[in-house]
Amino acid sequence: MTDNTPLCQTLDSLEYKLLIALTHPFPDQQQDQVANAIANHSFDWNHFLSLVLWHRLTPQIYRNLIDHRDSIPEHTFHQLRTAALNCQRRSLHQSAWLVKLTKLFDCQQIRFIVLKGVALSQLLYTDSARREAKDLDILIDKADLTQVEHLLVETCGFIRQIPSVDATEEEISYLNRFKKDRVYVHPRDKTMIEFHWRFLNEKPLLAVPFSELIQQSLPLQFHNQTISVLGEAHFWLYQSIHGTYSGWYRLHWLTDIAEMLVQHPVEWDMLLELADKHYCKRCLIEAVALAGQVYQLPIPETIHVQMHNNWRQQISLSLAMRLLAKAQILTPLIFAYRVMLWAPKRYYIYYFLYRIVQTSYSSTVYEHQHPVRRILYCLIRPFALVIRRLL
Amino acid sequence: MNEQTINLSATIKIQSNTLSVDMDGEKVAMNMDNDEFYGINSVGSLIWSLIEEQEMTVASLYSLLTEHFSQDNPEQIKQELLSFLTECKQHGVVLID
Repeated sequence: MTDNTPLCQTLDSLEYKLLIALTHPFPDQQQDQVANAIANHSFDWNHFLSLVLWHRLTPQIYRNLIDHRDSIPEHTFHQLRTAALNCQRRSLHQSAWLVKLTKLFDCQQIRFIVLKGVALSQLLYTDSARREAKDLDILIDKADLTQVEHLLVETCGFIRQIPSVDATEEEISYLNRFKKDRVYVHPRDKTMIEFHWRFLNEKPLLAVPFSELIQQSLPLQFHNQTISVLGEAHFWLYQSIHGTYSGWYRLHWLTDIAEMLVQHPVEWDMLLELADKHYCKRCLIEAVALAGQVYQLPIPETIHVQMHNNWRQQISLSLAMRLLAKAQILTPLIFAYRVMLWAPKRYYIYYFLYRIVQTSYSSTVYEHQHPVRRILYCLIRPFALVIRRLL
Repeated sequence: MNEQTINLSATIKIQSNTLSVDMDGEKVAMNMDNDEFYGINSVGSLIWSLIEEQEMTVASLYSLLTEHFSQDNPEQIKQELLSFLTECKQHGVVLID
């Protein structure tokens, strides 16, 4: 958790209400909420700023508040502007790399799909810099991984960060089996790119073959280049599963879902059927219901019925609301509980244990320790986590 | 290249190595070849938006600007336009051909 984590918040606080109003797909109430905030002496602008930063909504909030700059405390506005400028700069670097990689990969006939980041921003907000993104997420065919890494490192000057450059063949092979991506960073502009070969580490979830994904992908015009993004159905499932899996600790995932509800309505029965096939029906229901509840948007009837006929889904939604209000990264235990939301029944125990004992992806334990130490670490880790929490 | 050498019949287009975004109603352009950022003021941003929409000749652009800023001195508009285009060309973000 970073320093800007809001220590406490409730979804009905003035600050949260303004955050929701300024990121709402229908911005009708924005002016009222801003006027309320400005007029109310108990409105905590520092807390509001910490919420904006934590939920990674800086560009949207900054753009919507700029007309009210004279009514906002100067220090707050200055900090918001600085953060917005940094986002802008980062998104320009990311866009530039995406354009360069598109040209490079097209020459080498490497097919890829851009998952989130600047492409999602372009797709949902028609502006690649409107949505804050820390990195570029690109899905490739696992068979192309070696070639992609060669191009990225040798031609573009990126450095592999995870697994680290000095990881052994054995360690890389282990990570390739159990993990979903590799991370690269450019030393000059610090652009971070994640190359994924599947959506999640846990295999049965949304395990759609790359060939099927690319076949159903959609073209998107991006700074005079044509890039591929996920087809509508896969896009919905991926966005839902990403937020649900993470426990919705950042509002901007939900903001995207709300925007998708308005801009990308789908044939819900068909989508639910597909979601069921890929073990993510409950994730989809939670995402739509949560976005509907937080942004007060009408929920499609099919989703509404599914929600009200399933008590586990209702409990899960209530937990998700609490997690969102708490703005806290999921602890392994809460994550393990939420496994029941998305994992197929026969995998509950497996994923519960897997999550409890698994080491962090970036942990050097995998890469530099003797196998016996690695096993010991895995055994000790859950107890160490409990002790850390208690302390 | 100085302002005088830009021909009014020359066509202006944004270089393919250039990305731009809006910031506070003004444009920020980035030259992808050297990762250089270039901040553009509000008048420059208007010019940029016009050439971003479609490539056009300097004369057409000048004509659109005189229409937009009808209260201003046409000669001053011309000087500012040429000065802006020269600067953009020096930053490698537009092509004037």
